Amino acid sequence: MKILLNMSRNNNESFGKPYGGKAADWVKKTSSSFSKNGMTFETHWYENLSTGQRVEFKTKLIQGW
Amino acid sequence: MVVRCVKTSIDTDNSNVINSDMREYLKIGNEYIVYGIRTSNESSYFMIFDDGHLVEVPSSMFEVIEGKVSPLWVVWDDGLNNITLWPELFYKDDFFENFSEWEDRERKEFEKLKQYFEECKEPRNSRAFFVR
Repeated sequence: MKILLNMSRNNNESFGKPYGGKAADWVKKTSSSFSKNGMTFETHWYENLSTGQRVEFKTKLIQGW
Repeated sequence: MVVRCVKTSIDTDNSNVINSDMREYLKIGNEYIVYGIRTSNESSYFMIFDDGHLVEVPSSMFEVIEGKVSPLWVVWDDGLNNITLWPELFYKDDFFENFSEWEDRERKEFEKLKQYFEECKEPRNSRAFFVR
């Protein structure tokens, strides 16, 4: 898992409000990419570094990179 | 600017240090173009492109092997103890969010930037940046 961005930057100051905590506590993470049936995917989610809470999991199909 | 990975993780008790364990992604000895730099209270970071994503990695995991500063970098102090040296593209609203979501527009914009940085690796091209 690696951190892609901190939610307090890049105009995301209000990110933490629905879940609690400050935006600065929240980061966006991604899994390593993985393949299935010839297609490549990765899973993204947001994580509170202070509490460990993880929200908004989604798996993305990666094309053409 | 080009750096070489000298370690893939760092020991820290500070949970605010991001990507302190990159063993899954980085390889010692590999070279990476630096697309931006950020310093904060807890650490300094190099922005590299790896496995399809732009990621900030603690600078202590690297040694600098080509230290020319990009003429595209713009300094920004966010008033929250973060000073960044990034290309203007990175300061666009939602750039990183959209880039991480593989949005076409941001990917295409970055591809141009990436090509430029790669060309700058060549000594014959990078010299031109200092002759204005």
